[in-house]
Order: sequence, then structure tokens, then C-alpha cells
Amino acid sequence: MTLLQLQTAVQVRLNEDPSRVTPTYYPAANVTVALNEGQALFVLLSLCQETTATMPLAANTAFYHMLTVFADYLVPLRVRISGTGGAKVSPARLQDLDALDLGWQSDNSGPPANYAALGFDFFAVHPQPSAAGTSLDVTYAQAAPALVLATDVPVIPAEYHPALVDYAIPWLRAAEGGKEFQASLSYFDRYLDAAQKMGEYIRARNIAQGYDRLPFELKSFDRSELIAKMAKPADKAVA
Amino acid sequence: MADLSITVTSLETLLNTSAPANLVEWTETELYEYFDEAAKRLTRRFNVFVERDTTTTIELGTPSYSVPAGHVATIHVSVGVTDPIPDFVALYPSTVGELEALDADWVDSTGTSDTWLHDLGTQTTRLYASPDETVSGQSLAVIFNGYPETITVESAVIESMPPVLQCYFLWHGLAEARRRESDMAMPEVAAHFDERMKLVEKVIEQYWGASQ
Repeated sequence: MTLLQLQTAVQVRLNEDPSRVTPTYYPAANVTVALNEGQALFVLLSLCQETTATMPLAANTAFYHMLTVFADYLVPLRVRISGTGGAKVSPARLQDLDALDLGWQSDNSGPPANYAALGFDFFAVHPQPSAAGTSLDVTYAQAAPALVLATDVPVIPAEYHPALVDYAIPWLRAAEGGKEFQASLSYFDRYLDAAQKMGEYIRARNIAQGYDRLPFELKSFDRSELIAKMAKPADKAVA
Repeated sequence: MADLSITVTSLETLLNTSAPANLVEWTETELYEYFDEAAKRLTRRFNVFVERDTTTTIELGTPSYSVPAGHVATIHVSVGVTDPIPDFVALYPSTVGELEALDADWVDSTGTSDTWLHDLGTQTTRLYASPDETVSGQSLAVIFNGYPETITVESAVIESMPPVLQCYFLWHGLAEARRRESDMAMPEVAAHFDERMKLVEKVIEQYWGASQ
């Protein structure tokens, strides 16, 4: 589905006439924001987008911020030395590296054998090359690019495109609150079902691939407070 | 890089307004304050904003140093030099109790520092032994989790956060705005988006927030 088709599907379900030049309640721009957030969250929950890119290493440098290297970086899945026969670079914790060698930050004896990923984008390698010329092939879970043009197509698999419609409806209804919003939460539940299904597939795949990270296990999250309780009549404070 | 000036526009949409000037119950400054609260909430719960600071120079006989600005939790400490090439040695983390057991005179002991601890609260990094000439003049390298610069309308970009997490800030802002006592309060919306934040926090914990 294209962005335009998704926008239309959302507006029709909300009883908005997409053919109006100025839709009354749900302008296309707002629908696009909702669809993009839905796609970004879907990719985050399932880690269904991945890419491999080359990361040049600087001489005598152990620490990097990955978002300055790859703007769409989420988490590392697999790291190896670039080039034919490049060895795997294994994940480690800082205390593992300390246990190996208290001076690991200064070890410039060659291409990295280990990496440590901390926080959103902090990344350390050990050992480090003493000269430029070494690169890593980093396979990482990638954030979804935003849908901008009417002809843009979401990066998630086509069979999950309707899930984005399910996400957008409660997002737009959140501005109204009350029963309208609560009634729309069944759409959000269905969206989470779709993300869970995708995530389970990617989880099995990443285990088989021997990747360093797995998607979030959505089925372990208790949705009762998120959906079930919310679906009850509004418990609005008395003014 | 996450640009929260985009997020504030989304929040204004969900608050039924098309421009900051049309906000009735809230001001745009308040919306950014909600975002800043969200950043600090993330920081105190998870080690997500990780930085390495090497700006502190160790002085002879001075064992205690202030932690870097925004510091929440220390992850790793080492001492060394940055020039001509970085040459750092990690220090062992310890506690007052351990050092008292190791050395009754640990407060006044002087020598090559090989241990660090948080003494006198959490805002001071203390070295043991107190630095002698072998480490004085070197840099204290601290890898820490710290909250980003205060988020305001003038400073709305968080360089070290993936843009996908802008939704977390949007949801916190929406929940706080709709929880606030006013004619435009929507407690059911606030409660739902609180739960969405919990969902994303679980994800953050698994992907990025695990302690070292």
C-alpha cells in the first residue's frame, strides 16, 4: 500500500471524506504523522528492518557514537571485520574487557575481536587498529524511513501494512478522548498482535542466524492495563 | 538524532491545536518541560545516554573529583593520557567497607590509584590510593550514564537518541497534559499513554538499558 492508500483507508474508517480538499477532522498531514509513528514503533518492536553497512575505524580509537556513523542505527545484530575472510567481532561487556586486560582501552594490537554496546549508541572496540584502513561490517537493526510522498511504500512487509491503519485510528482519536478513544483501542490491540507476530518470526530467525540481539518478546507484556481496562466506560474526573 | 521540535507539533495536534499560539490550557514551554521530564525519567531508569568524559585532570594528593555534568550513574573509570595516543588503565570499583577492610588508613594512603568509589554521596568519584606522582597530571576517564542537556524550545535535539523514541516523549507529554486538572483533562487518555510508555520502557530495557 502507498502512503496515499493508507491515508485514505484511515480517513474512510473514521468517516472522513478523503476527497475533500480540507478534511474536517482528520487532515492527511495528521494521518501521515500517525502512520509514520506506527511504522517506526512496529519496526522497533519487531526489529524487522536490518542492513549491513561499513564502519571505518579511526587509528587508536576505541570509542564511537553509532548514531553519528549510521543515523538509522537501532541495535547491533552482527559485527565482523570487513573484507574477505573477515572474522566475527564478538559482543562483550566492559567488565569482560577489564577482566581480559585492564589496559584494553590502549590495546592497539590489531583489528577488533570484541565490541561493547552501551546505551542508545555508545560503542567500544577491543583491540583497536593502530592505523586507519580497518573497517567493520556492522549488521544492525535499522529504523524505518518516514513516509513522505504519496507514492511512498512502508518498509515493513506488505501483509502488515493494514496494521498501520490500525495504529493510526486510535492515535487520531486520542485528541478526542472519552468513548471515541476507548472504542478505538481494539485497533491498537490488533496492531500489537501484528507486531507480535512479526517479532516472533524475526526472533526465530535471529536465533537461527546467531545474531547478537533478539526482538522484544511482546507476548510477555501484560496488555490488560493498556487495552482491556481502557475499553471500559470513561472514568472521567468530575469538574 | 531525535528532534523534539517535530514531536511538539505532533503533541499540539493531539491537544487539538494547530499552532503554539492557539494552546489554551498549556504553553509550549510547558510541553517542552514535559519532554525534559521524560528524558530524566529515561535516564534514571536505564543506562541509555552513555558518554565518556576525559576532561578531569588528576592532581597530586587530591583523591576526590566531581562527576561530569548530568551524571546519573558511573559505569566505568580509568586513568591515563590521551596524547600522543590514548593510554588508559581501568580502575577497580569498590566501596568504603571494602577499603576499610583492606587498609585501615585508606583515607590517607598515597600511591598509584587503582581503585575508585563513590564516597560522600554519588556526585564525587574518589580514587584509592590518593594520587601520587605516577598518576598526577593524567586524565580521569569516566564512562557514565547522564541526562542530556535540558530540553527547551531552543534546545530540542537529543543527538544520542534514535528518532524512533520521539514517541516516548510525545506520549509522556500527552499523558501529563491530559492529566493536568483543567476543562481539557482526559484521564482515560493519560492512563492509556502511561501504559504505552511502560511498553516502550520494557523495550528500551531489553535493547539498550541493560546494566554493564
